[in-house]
Amino acid sequence: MKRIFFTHSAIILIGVFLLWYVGYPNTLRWMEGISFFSTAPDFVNLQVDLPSDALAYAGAFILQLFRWPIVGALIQAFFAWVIMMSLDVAIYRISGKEWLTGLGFFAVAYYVTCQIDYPNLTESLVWCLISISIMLVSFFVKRKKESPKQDKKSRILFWSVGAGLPLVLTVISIIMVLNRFPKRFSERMFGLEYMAEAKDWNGILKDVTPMDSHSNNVLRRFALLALLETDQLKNQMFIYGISDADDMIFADYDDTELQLFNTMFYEALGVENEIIHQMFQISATSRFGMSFRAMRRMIDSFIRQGDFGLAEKYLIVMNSAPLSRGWVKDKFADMQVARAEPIAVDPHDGEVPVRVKSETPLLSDVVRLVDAYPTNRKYVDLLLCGLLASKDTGKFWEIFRRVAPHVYGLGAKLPAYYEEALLLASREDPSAIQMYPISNERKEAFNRFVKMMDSNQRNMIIPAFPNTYWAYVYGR
Amino acid sequence: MKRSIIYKLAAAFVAVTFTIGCSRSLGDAAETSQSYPPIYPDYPDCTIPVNIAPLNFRVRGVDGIKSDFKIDGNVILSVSGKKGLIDIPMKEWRKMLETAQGQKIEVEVSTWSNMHPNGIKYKPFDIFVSPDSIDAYVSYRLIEPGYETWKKMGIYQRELCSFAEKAIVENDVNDSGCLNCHSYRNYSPSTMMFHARGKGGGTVMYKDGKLKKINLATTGPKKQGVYPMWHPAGRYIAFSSNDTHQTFFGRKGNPIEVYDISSDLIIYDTETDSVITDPRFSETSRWETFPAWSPDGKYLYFCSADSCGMPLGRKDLHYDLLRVGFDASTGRMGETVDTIRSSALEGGSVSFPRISPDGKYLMYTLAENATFPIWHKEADLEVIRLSDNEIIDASLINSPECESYHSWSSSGRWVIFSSRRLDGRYTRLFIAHMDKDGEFGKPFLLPQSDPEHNMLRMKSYNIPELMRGEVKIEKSKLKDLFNDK
Repeated sequence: MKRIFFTHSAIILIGVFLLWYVGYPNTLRWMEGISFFSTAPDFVNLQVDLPSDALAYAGAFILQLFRWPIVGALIQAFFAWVIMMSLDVAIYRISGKEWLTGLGFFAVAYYVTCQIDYPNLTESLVWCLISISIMLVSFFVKRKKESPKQDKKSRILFWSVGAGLPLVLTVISIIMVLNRFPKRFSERMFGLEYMAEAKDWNGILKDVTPMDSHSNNVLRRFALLALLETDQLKNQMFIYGISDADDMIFADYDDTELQLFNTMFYEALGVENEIIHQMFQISATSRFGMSFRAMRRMIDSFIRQGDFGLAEKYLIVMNSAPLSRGWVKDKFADMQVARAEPIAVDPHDGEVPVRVKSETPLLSDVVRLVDAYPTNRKYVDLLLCGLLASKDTGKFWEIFRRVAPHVYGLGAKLPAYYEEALLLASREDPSAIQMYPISNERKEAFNRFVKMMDSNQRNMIIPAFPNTYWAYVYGR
Repeated sequence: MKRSIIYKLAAAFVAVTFTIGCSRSLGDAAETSQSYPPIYPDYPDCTIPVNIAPLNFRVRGVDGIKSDFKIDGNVILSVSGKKGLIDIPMKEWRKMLETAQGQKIEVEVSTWSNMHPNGIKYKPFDIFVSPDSIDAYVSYRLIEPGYETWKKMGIYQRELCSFAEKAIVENDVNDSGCLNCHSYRNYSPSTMMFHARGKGGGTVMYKDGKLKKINLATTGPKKQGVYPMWHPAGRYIAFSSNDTHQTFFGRKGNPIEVYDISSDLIIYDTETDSVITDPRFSETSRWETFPAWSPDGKYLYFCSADSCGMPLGRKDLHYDLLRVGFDASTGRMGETVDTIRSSALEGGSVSFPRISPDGKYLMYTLAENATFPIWHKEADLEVIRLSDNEIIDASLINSPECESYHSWSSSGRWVIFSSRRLDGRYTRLFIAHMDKDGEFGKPFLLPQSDPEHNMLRMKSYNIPELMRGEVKIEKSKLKDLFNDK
């Protein structure tokens, strides 16, 4: 029994550990992020309303360890191992045949394929409890004794059914999990989320190619956010397939992950209240009524805002999660540093409504932000890029002449897209190209573009003028 | 050899036990401080009712703590604790308050910590024990101070002489819908109402053991009932009917403005199941909200403002405080509408008028503008003496953070109110004494068994209403009500 036990253990522990650690490390972190554990009485009351909730509470406790993917992967492997070990013992005790234990892998492999659908761990715990129960029951069954004789047939059965079958079933289950497209996509999205939280914008742009961005609206938003943060939106957004201003956020989605993206977008804009708002929404709809990720993001936001009273409250709550105490200690230290620094006075505190219902939600928000903070270049560029993305050249020029002088000194070199839009606007209003110098090279290109349009060669515009506003508006 | 090890282990055990024993028996502190102890919550100099639960407190960052409670210089009770927590035994506390009523209790706190291993004794502080008792229970809604959605909410009741908290109703009975606006008739736990929104929603009435659900939105003028107040005689309930929205603000400051784009007054007759309206309080050019009866039931107070475009006009939206006569025998409102407080003359915007049971004082929340003060950091409580319409000093009960909903005790000697003073976001309940001359004592935070509960609780207290006793509604009956059984 020892050799089969060690063989099975090696197959399941190595296989499942690698599946999670190599294949789904971000999903492990995400599982911790959406969960919450606390010893605070209110939280316990909420979690243990029903007897079945006790398992969720236990799962929440274990999930704290998933913040470190290597530990999370080990735990996932451990769950599978417990099921395997229990079934091995039960089958061996009932049948008395070592090689028959390999059949238990039908259940183990099935569990491995399902494990990724158990983010709260509740079902994993149920699987373990049932397996252990079966094992315990087997102790009451009269044990059959295996013949000590090791003939050729028994060796073949051992290596084929006892060891070979488990290996094949485990490999198949791992391949099945690795080929689940929605889970693979989520894993990639979670990776992008963590990169965005860590402000690894170049990492995002390395991961999301322009082709990816064209074909997927979630990836596109991450790419556009990275472009905004690296000041490349005004030179690159058309390559990445922007099709509308609202391509930059998820305007009307209730999905947690999409709301989470929105918080990162608003963080990029310094719209802190909206981070808190969205995080509250995410928390309120979560299984636990709160989540570690939301707590951490809110604490960071409160510290940035100088709202130390609330930051302290949330840190005390986080401190009731035993495995977050190190993080809490670090944040208390950060808060001490932040307290010593003067908080910038914002003349428009609380005066800029956001997410007001509108046909163009993002542009409406950004217009109000630009009105309140006219010298904020990020806001101005976002507004102008949003107008370009809307293909409204006339509106772009109308707004541009009002807002650009606050952030682009007269005589400054403008981003290529702006020059292209101004040249296009100058067909209606010649003064559009008089505010800022436009390079001769651009003017000549524009003349070629106009000739192409006049000669009805619109299908040639994209190859002739790639990554231009002209191609974006008129290209086919 | 073995014996020697056993002896050594036994000696070590005795030494450890002795050390632990010594650290637990707190004697006198070696050092003395001239400052008050940094206790949480802030209880020094507050006035408390004779029947309140123990004021347990904590000093953060210390290990051992001792508190001597003295009356006239004599130690009546001495409590020691660990991890900075003073957990006062209920029986001794009650006995002490009985003895101390009308007097002050001097509290002398000593702590032991790494910084003060031999202990430090702080300057004693006083707690004043009023002989005026407070109503036995307070009810409130617990909800995340959130934005649009919630996980679990409910209306709860707390016994004020203990720490016992029980649910009156939780939103598992109405499919996680919203529960709000509970109101009692004359502090009676046997006559109450609340709204339940969402699936199977309606206004739930509980009267003399019987439950009933009505839908005001389909009754009479088909106006939704929102902010209620039960007429003292019991037949009528005044509601405002509000169409409420909210706007979010992006960067710091007040994050939300909650506002109405219409609001009228309606009166529900519980005997005829009919709704009474008055064209003066249903027109679109004025908005009326937050009705409140005078204790004799002869006047209906309410807030009213000229309607304007919201949310852009929020800075210009100022609610006056008005009152109109009411004849309970006919259910009709009087002809004259009096202005109690004019925002045009005195500025600000009034919410939540509440008249003291003796009819002498009127308390309301005053914000700079608009109608929902809980998101207005500047909102404070203000009190008018109705005999001469003079504003009396309420500075002792206000704070730099928002003070909002409030209710009087049935004796009129206590006020319970919600305030965000602890952290700026989570409303907590404070209780303040008002003496017969209209002077406030320093308010105190609703006591909890462990004061840290105030930090760990991730929900806000809404609409504190004092009651004379416990509300006893069977959960199964409530479930049946929503399942239309």
